[in-house]
Amino acid sequence: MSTNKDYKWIGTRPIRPDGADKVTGRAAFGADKNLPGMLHAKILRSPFAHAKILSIDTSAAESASGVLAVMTSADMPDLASEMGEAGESAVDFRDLSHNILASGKVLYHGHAVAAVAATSAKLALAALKLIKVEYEELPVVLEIEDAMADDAPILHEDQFTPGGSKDKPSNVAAKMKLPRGDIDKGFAEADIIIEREFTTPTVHQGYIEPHAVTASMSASGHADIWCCTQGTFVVRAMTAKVLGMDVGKIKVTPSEIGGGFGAKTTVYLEPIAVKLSEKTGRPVKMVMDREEVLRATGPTSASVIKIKLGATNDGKLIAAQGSLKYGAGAFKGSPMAPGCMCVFASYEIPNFLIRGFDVVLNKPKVAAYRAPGAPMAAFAMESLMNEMATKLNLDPIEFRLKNAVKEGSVAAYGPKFPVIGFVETLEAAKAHPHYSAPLGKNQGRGVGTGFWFNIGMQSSATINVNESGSVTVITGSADIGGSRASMALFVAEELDISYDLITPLVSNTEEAGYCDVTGGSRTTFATGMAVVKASKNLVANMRKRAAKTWGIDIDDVTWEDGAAIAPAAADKQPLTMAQIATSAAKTGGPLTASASLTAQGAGAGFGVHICDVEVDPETGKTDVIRYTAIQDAGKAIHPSYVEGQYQGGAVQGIGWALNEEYVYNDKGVLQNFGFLDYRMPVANDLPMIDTVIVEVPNPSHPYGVRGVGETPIVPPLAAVAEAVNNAAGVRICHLPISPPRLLAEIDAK
Amino acid sequence: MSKTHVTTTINGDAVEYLCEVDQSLLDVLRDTLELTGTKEGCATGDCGACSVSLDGRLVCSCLVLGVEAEGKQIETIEGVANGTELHPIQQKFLENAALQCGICTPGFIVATKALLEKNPDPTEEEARYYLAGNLCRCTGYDKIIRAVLDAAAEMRGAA
Amino acid sequence: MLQVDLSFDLQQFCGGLESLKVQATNIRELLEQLDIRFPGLGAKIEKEMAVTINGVIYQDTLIEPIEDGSEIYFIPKIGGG
Ligand code: FES
Ligand code: FES
Repeated sequence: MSTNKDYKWIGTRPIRPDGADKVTGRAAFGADKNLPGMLHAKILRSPFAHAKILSIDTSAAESASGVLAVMTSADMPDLASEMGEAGESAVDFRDLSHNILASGKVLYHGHAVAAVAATSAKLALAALKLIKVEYEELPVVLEIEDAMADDAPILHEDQFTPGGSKDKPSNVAAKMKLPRGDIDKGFAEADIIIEREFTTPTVHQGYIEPHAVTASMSASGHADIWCCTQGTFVVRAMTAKVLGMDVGKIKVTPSEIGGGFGAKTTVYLEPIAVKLSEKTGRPVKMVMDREEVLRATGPTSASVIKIKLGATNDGKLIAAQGSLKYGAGAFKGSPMAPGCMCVFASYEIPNFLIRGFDVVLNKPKVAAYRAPGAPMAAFAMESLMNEMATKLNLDPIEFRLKNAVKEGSVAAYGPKFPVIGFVETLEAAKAHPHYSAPLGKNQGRGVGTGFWFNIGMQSSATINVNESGSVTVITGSADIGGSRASMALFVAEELDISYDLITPLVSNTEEAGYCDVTGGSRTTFATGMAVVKASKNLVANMRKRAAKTWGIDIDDVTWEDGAAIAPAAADKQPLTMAQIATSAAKTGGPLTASASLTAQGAGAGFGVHICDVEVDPETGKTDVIRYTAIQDAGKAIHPSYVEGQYQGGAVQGIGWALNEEYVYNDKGVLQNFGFLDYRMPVANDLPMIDTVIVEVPNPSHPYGVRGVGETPIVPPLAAVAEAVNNAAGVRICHLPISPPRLLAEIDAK
Repeated sequence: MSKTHVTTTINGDAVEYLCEVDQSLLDVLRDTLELTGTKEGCATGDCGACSVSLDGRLVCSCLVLGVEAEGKQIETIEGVANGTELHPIQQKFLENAALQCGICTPGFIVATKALLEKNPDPTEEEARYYLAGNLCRCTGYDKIIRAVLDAAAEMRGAA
Repeated sequence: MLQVDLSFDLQQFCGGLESLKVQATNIRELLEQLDIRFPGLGAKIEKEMAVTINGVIYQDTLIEPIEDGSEIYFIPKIGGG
């Protein structure tokens, strides 16, 4: 398959089908669902970062005006610790339950303790104050290395490090080791060795839409849930598990979703809303405020990463050693494993040793965030690659090209790479005019690269043909960034009909076939595969209908230009899709086609970013003045939305590099719990973000698609840091590169 | 608590409502009047998702009280299009793919309209500064700024 | 025969064995074979890991056919944002 193939629709930029509703305010998001008689529920949150719950007295709240029900963890079944698959990464259902409502202990400031449903949000909030909780405060541990210390306060008395002591509980929930070759020999052969430690802070996904749900339990025990989620089927599975219900008794209808970036692949509110609805017999709505979002959802891990890198004078990497520690928050499950698998994945290194640690501490349980675990690892590795290039007197891209993985290279995480586009992406970066543009005073340039695996997982699609020949495509994959447009483009290309005839829908869990979460950059890839397969089934069906109409063999019917034709039978006029649809009743009934699959062979995505900054040496303020994101998309189905992924990911990475961080006091109380102080990039912080879409097709996908959403957040951290280094002459290994930190480094120089 | 009676104009319609004295205009719009096109991202004036125009001035409706709307002219996202005909700003947001999730879009469109009413020919920098109160986490702003400048050019041409 | 290389963490389940040869034509057979040699290993892999066949990642599937001579490696399942 070649990218040069002329497609009619794939690769074009039509207006997204859901666009008009989104620019006019008609699109309904999570908080926009209201039902008659609806109650509002609010959550009581822990004032301590670590404490035993001695007692909870809800009686006063229960009798307060307007209150219909109060709930605590006692209203949910006691679950055994059990790793299950719900969503994309394994989750321990007991942890999930205890994160939704604390049981026995609170593990972070803002941990949910109880919930109240009342006739208004105001009355619910007032009633929260009447709940009496008796706590016994425990020592707080916030930093990864403190939590790993022998005498650290322990979060979970029943958590032991695998392979470690069986009597002494530990905050280290998991370890990983990836060795290759002989690092002692490797470092002995190295001409240059650099070793540094890097840290990154806790940061939040920062979606603009807070979590929201409306739930209604019927007298027959069926729960209806409307919510903003990346995966309706995951909400269903998790809610069922946590409440001990059957999935068949839960219907989840997706609203539009106002950003997720990974954090809307789990549940915080849904089981509470369902339970409160069951208790009251009324619909219950819950909407978080921004403070709750920052205190108790997301974020992603802080990290402490130490890397030692050895290279020979001819610019070849020969040995590497990495220790990667990720903070999981209150419950195990940081993205330590993917971090370890990514850290050296882009380069051929004959000898290495990677060790990873998953560490619990008194912060909110982390949730997935774009390429989970990879940005921190790449910050460390790519920073060292830049420093090594300088030491070797090599151009940083040239140095990477000398060591880049290609088809057949054995990835650091084990297998051999199939067709990948890292070299092509590096070459495109080198050739880009940005890379050789002149720089002014106090300005500097940096590059960084990034890798992500991408995933497949399960998807289904159904296509229904209307009697006019227009079609509806139904999937269960949430559309976070324009995937409806991609689905319609696939159908248009396959059926060879106009994009305007296609209505793509994202439906609920009872009407759409099963789809895993929209996450891991899988939707255009995997749900797209299901849509393509369903389209092919439909074409086959329509050829059969035409064959019947003509009384000829189906093999003599082909499909072209949205019509069945009989090339060998000159007397048969082409039958258009509209004609076949109109007469469908007579040829076998309505035209509909479905397909479902577990998609395999998601192609790895590589990106290279070039960043120019200007540093104000008086204030330490860094401005990004030019930025280019280059990435292999395999094949861009709707290039505008591919570019949008590159740009959005890059800017999240820039925010991570320059501004964003959770600031805690020593009691574990988050100090910056609003958008004013948790400062994400705004329009005047940024230049245009240039993009280059490289297309090295993924042979496992019918159109060559690779996932594109994760990779772009990986390169920026190191690219920005290197640009600052080149502008100001200081190498920053601890993010964020905030003005005070940078100024201190400049002054210390 | 007794409620206050408010008479106001929203998107050209005469509207009356009862609201509590501490209720924000955003809550009134969304909860009382079911005009849910205006979004809440923070309720503290930091994200711009709730942008509306109040007597021609761009405001965060989460920072305005419902009672303050008395006698005023309010314009929300629901009033930007002319019936089913999109405003050029809306059209340009679509053409430039200036939205991914779309939660910030109503706020950006209302703010852009206010910008272009004041300054029909903004530079990129002026657009970026004017829209700095509107957060978007998905797009990195590139396509939004392009849409704004594109809409400005179109509106100047049309005028 | 398939060439199966084991990651360090999996080697701990197999008495330090780094690689082995297995006769199988799809993932289900492969895991069964592993389970026979190292009881529990196949089940562990099925639950926690993805299978790579000549570098292409296969996750949550038992039916994928495997060509003779393929190289097999197991990695932790991948999620994403
Ligand atoms: S909701 Fe008003 S500024 Fe954020
Ligand atoms: S498009 Fe999602 S926040 Fe702007």
